[in-house]
Amino acid sequence: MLPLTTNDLLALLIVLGTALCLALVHWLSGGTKNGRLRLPATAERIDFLLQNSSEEGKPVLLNLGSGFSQHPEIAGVLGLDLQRMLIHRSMTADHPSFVGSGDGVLALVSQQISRGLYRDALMPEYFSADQAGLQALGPMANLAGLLSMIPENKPSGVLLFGSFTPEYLLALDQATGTARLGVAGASTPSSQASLWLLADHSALGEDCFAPVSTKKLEKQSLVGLRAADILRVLISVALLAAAILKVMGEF
Amino acid sequence: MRRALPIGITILTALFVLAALFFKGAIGSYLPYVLDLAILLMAAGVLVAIAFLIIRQVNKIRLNPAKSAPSLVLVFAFAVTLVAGLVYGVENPVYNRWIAAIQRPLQASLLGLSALVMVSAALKLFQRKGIDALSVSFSLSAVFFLLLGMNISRLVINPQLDAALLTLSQVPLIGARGLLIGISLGALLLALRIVFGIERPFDER
Repeated sequence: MLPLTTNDLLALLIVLGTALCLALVHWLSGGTKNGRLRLPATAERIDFLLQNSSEEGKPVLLNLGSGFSQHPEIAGVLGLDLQRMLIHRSMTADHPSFVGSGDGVLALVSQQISRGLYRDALMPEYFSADQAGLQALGPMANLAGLLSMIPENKPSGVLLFGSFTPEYLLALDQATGTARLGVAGASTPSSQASLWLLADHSALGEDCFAPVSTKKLEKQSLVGLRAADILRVLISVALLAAAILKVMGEF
Repeated sequence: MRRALPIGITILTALFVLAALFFKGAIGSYLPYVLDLAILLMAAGVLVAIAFLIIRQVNKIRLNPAKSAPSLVLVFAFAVTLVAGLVYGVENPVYNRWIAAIQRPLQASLLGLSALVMVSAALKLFQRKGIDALSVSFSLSAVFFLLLGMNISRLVINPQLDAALLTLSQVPLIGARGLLIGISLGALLLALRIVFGIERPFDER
């Protein structure tokens, strides 16, 4: 007999249901056409930012947040897809884009990604470890590092995607003086609310888990977005049914 | 093979941890070993990243001594902290008090500064975001629930109105719960995409 409590069973059911939905969407979805799919509002702004940066010849600053070493959470890897997109666009630009993070392991992964992308594009000599490195350890030290990076590099935009605390609005405030755009995606409601105040665009709710661009939609991103749409409907129906049952006195 | 191996290890580890969390028993007893291994690998990774950081700062000092004051402070502070930590040990109360005496005021000043910036950003909200549904509803609800949070209902003598205000004060919790459900859904989907190998955030291609 397995020692599973009701909460364990519910959690297991949710994980299995989500996995089934994801697997079905993955196998049944063909190609990368987005059709009538709702893309997060940040997608267009990210495109605009990347376009602007290559036109102005200025770098983009991407910060990946506090990572996952100190507080293991999946939001730590949020910015890595965005980094891939950013490096692809800025390889031939006048100034390379800079990626910073507040976690050692995340910094190494980020460095490995940048190095691999430059190597695959047959221009490994343009890669420098300074382009993707550890800013400092911990959220506050990372913020302090970011605050010094913004005036130093005069970027065309600042991107914050990952695990952030509300204090990071200081970086966005500083960016309003030098950079044209600030786009943020944080994984906690309090950070989302505070960064929304100063970011030109901020991903709210589950949108922060889909840092996509409208130009090049990867199949895995589309699968995630489609599955999220289906699960949203299922959750709404389940909540409605639960509310009705509660009102009827069933629970 | 070069790409399949890390993906295979990721999937197997993730499935093992999931299974150990749900079906404790015999599998669960192996979980601490896996987690210890992960912590050990992460600690080694952090050491390498710190070495990179210090080398980068030293190079900065070497190439541009005139603008290297922050880098000098960083390298000096790191060296002093490292040596003191090695000599006295990280559990030493004097060492910890010494670190906290520097770190806490700095963090508190950043927090204070961010509170001021938050207030100024809230005051300039309409100027920055324009007048739209989101900014208007955000401002009105922020003011309304701030007043409710200050326990303004104490001034209301009518018990029905008092009960209504009490019910209204629960509304932000419903909103927060909705946001949290959405965030959890996003996190769960991203985690499962990584577990199944559909998404490979660590992949260099």
